[in-house]
Amino acid sequence: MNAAGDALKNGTDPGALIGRARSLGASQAEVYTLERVEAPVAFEANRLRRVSSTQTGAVAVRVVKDGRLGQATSTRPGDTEVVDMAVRAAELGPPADFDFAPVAPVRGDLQMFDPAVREWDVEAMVQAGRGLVEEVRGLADGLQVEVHLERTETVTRVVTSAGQDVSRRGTLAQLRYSLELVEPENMIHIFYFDRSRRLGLDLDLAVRRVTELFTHARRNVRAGTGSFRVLFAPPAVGDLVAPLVACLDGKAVVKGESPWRDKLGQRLFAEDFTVWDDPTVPWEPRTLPFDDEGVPTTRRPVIERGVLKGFLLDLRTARALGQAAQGNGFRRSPDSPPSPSPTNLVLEPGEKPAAELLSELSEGLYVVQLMGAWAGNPYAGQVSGNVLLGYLVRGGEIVGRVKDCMVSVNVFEAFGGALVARSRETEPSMGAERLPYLLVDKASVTTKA
Amino acid sequence: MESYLRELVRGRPADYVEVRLEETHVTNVSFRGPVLDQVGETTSFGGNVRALVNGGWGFVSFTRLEDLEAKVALAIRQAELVSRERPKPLRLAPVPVVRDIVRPEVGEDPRRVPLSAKKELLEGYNRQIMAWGPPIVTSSVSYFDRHRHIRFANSEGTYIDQELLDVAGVFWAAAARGGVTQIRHYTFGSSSTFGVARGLEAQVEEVCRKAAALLDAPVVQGGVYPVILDPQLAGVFVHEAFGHLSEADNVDENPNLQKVMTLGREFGGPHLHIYDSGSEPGLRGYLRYDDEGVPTRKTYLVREGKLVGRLHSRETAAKMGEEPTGNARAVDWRFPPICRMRTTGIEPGEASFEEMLEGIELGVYAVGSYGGQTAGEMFTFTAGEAYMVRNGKLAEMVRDVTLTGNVFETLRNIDLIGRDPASRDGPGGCGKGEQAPLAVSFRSPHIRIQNVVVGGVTR
Repeated sequence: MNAAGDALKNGTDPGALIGRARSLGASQAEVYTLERVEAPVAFEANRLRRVSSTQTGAVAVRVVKDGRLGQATSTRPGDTEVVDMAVRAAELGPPADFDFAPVAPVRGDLQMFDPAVREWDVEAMVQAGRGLVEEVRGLADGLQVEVHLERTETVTRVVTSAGQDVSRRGTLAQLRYSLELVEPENMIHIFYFDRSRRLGLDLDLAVRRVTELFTHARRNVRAGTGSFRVLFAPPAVGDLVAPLVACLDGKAVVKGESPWRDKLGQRLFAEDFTVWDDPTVPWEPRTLPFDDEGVPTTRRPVIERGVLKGFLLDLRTARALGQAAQGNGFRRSPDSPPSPSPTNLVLEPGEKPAAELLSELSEGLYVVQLMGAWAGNPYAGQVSGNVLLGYLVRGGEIVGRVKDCMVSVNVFEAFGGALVARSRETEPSMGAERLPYLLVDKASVTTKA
Repeated sequence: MESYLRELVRGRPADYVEVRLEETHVTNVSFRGPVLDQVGETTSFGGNVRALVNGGWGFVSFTRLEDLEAKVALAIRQAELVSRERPKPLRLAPVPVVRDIVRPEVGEDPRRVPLSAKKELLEGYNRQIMAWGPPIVTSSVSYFDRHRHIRFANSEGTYIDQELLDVAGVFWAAAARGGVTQIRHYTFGSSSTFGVARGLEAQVEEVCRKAAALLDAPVVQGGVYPVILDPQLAGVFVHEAFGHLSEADNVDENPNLQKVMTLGREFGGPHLHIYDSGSEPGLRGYLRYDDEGVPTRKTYLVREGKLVGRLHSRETAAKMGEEPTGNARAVDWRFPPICRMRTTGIEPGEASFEEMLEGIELGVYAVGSYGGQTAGEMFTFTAGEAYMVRNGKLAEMVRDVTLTGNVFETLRNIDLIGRDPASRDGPGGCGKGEQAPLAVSFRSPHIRIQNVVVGGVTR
């Protein structure tokens, strides 16, 4: 049941599509092709529920005709009509205020493809999944364990009329692991996520982590209302850095939505706060040599020692700001146009292990996951979320789980000074980031009396 | 096509086989600030095969149509593998065998509106926002229409050829001053007409005024308050808080949750009725047949405060010994159908808005939504705008209002239900697992809830 190898041939001939665009009067053209195979195995309610496989092919074409930009996408292999659609769209399109990627060399040495992921067969995935269920199902009567293991292999190619022709092949192994216990009016839901471009998911760590979080969650305690010191685990830290990403986004900068438009080179945060956009980290999910516009990616700090050093730019926003594109133009899916987003966002870690930060917390909260924190206005830096999974800490010990509780932090203030410490270790958040634990002073906590 | 698909799934070595092919055509237009961001078209063609063998499911999805026979065989092999791990065989709940062709009842058909006219209309709204003046600094306007043509055949002999129309959009205004940015938005959507995108100038004006006003609004003081939700937010609440808990695939193999969600259990006062329906014409949640070919119906989840139903696929209905409800939906061809909502609502009650304000000494009126989320019994959502209620009267505007709570407690705390049901569709959708955004709608009147946790600053 393993057909990844030869399933990744796209029926598209980019050269022919660019030729067709030219013959229809386009002055520039860009062809993006994607071929992907995914094989997920899902355990629900402690048992194998579904084995699937998905093959997706797509071609997206952008053209410039009479100074205007047009685009179209199709999933039909070998479709040439997609060029005609793009040319038609260009008649109404926005002014093409940028050029498609010129020829530029891209790195070939990044660690993003592991043949072992391709060879990870369904039987082995089922066995791994069964192991993850069996390891924890005895923790409580009625415990429901869900495991989702998936392998993905993707081939992406970008060809432009300016002569750029680059392709990349990447693998990804993913684990979503959850424990749910339903008691009358009290539900415990522990969620764990890990992913890697190589077949090296740490399943023992996964078991240890969910066991620990579940065990501490069995007892509910009440947090107070007021201003507290809070240790955030990486999944919650992902919500705290989301406003940074929103403010660094070239589109928000060009539009003036981002409050940072005129702040390049200025100190925004504390001296010890550094954030990298790093496409070179071995085996991370967004480790790749070029973006979806064919522009080489670059490892660089976006915030260095508290100073704003750069934005996340695609070709269009780079031109609008008069800067060089750095390879941050990515498509959320083949049918959405490239738009600025980070490669691997890396928050520089600190000195102490997370366990030590926790043990030094005399009175406060340990928040693993927030819920609904993405829903606010990111440009003001206010992050406000329901504590989906969080614990009360006293004298450096977890005393129990807190519920019906909101945490609110202004991350601009927190990263500006109220941030007490970052952990030495970094772990996956829910997205592409790998983040440290953060200890934040003076987070607003509201608990139902 | 029909006979080919029927033939493909008939007489296979499986308990059940279905095939679904989808052709989708999307046009979209968007503006960001003064500039046109995008005008584009997408066509996608994809399909899937799902097979059931002795209680186990296999699922294969693809964009390449060649060799469908091999894909059926692969789905059956996968299903066999799963069945080895499952102790008992599964029969799907019986439903009528159907042969039907469904075409949407269209008002103004977006496919007949030239792309240039769509662009012009939206450009008008965008220009209006950009010309509003300080403190409005920028805008965002986006629109799409989607036409889906789905062909479905199963091994029981059902064949459905269904077309679905979906039109939606949103515009945002952003106001900024002294390093603070505030945004407010308006959404529209329909399953039947492009007309829903027309004549929105007054709404544009309102959005600009609200974004500007939010700049001067203080962050709400965190605490526990009585809260009035407007129809839009009440709709999001009932979807997030109760709709997801009613999805039977969360319940069917979870004995503890079954105890919590026992039919007949009391969840609220006798004035509380919650339903989910596929038959609200014009709303984005409208649907004649779900993705298992089951006719949709209006399903009450709560009647007179008591649990009376849930949202089923054929599998969950069979396992729980209940009737299928037509709630098995897939966001597109890449995914198998799972239990999902359509239009979820609270039936109107008797209260007027004035009666809701009366008796609130200090509370919050929350309007519109940025979205919400739920996990188990906990939910949270963020209001688009909000006002304090002081001594029975609407008072100052406040911002960053996020509401959270325990579903069961909150449902019991609904003390007044308005008589003014309303729906507002938008371009967003519901997410479950990896499947998002699925077109769903909400319909509710104003509701009042006691003792809601509102996040904000604490002093």
